Amino acid sequence: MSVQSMLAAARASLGMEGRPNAITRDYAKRHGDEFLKAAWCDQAVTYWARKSDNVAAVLPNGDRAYTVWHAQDGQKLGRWFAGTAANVKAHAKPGAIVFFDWDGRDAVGGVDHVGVVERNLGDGRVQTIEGNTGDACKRRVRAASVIAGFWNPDYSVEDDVPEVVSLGAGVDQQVPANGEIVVRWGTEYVDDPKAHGDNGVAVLASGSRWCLCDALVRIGGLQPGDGLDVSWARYDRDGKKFLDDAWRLTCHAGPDGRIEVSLGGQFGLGTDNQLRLRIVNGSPRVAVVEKATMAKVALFKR
Amino acid sequence: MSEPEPSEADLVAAEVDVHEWGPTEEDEEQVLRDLGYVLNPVTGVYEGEGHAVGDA
Repeated sequence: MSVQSMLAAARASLGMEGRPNAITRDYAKRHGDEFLKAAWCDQAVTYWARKSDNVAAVLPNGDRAYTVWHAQDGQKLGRWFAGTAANVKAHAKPGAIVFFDWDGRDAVGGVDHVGVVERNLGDGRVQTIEGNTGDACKRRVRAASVIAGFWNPDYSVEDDVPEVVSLGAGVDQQVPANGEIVVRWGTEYVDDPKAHGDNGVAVLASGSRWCLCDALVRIGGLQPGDGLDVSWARYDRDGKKFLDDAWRLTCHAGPDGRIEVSLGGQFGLGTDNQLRLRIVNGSPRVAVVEKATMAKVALFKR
Repeated sequence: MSEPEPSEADLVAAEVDVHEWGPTEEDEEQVLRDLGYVLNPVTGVYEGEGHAVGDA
């Protein structure tokens, strides 16, 4: 979340041309196919903000494709500057969302087009990166005469978008009699590929996170009344040392010798620990964690 | 009966990027070169990291 990451996202789109493209497909996925071939200058700003975790700063009222609404978002925040040469020279920072009116008015209602300031040239002009300039993403140089206005997002505002990890056991896994295992997750769907590692048994946070987890655990191979413990447990980062399992549940097999239990949990995670789903079998029989066992883990920035 | 509010897609189609991409600064390409960007002749895009304004 920074102006640097916003500009890096914009630079990564340079050279994109035609439509539909990655930007319009991304917007259409959430808002409908009518955007696939629509004007995409503001869809591009939305795309860059989302790609760079700057949603809260750049899209305070959500995704934008309509430039006028996006300009009004800045007005509502009290961050809007009319596009005068003096304002551009003094206040247009890198990362500013800059709105254009080809008729030269400094009014929000006349906005035609939008881009992101990469550099303030210091002479009442800015150098920008724009989507859909000639149906391509390019660097441009713009003068105050065509700038309706601009606003500087507060790039220090952090997005409250959780990283979500969905996990599935995938295969049956045996738990020794009077022994224990940590569930090995054979399948995963994850925003951040670094959030799941250690041979598939651990959830790893890339920074300080609140972790909300929920597992649906299915276990077979037991006799009615056999007991075992299921817990979300924290280990040290290497996974060698058990730390705690405050969310631990003792379960007993039903008449069919099976256990099916939903287990929630809430933890603080960081770069010095990891999270595992631990099964402690107190019965004299080998238990089987069934392949349909699954979990969802959401990591929120602290 | 009042008219239904236009959707965002309707407003975009009617008002956004309906003209060409706007007045071009006469010295645009020279400014971009002076900033350290290099034209990719295939894409027509000025690429690279560039440098701060005033740093030649």
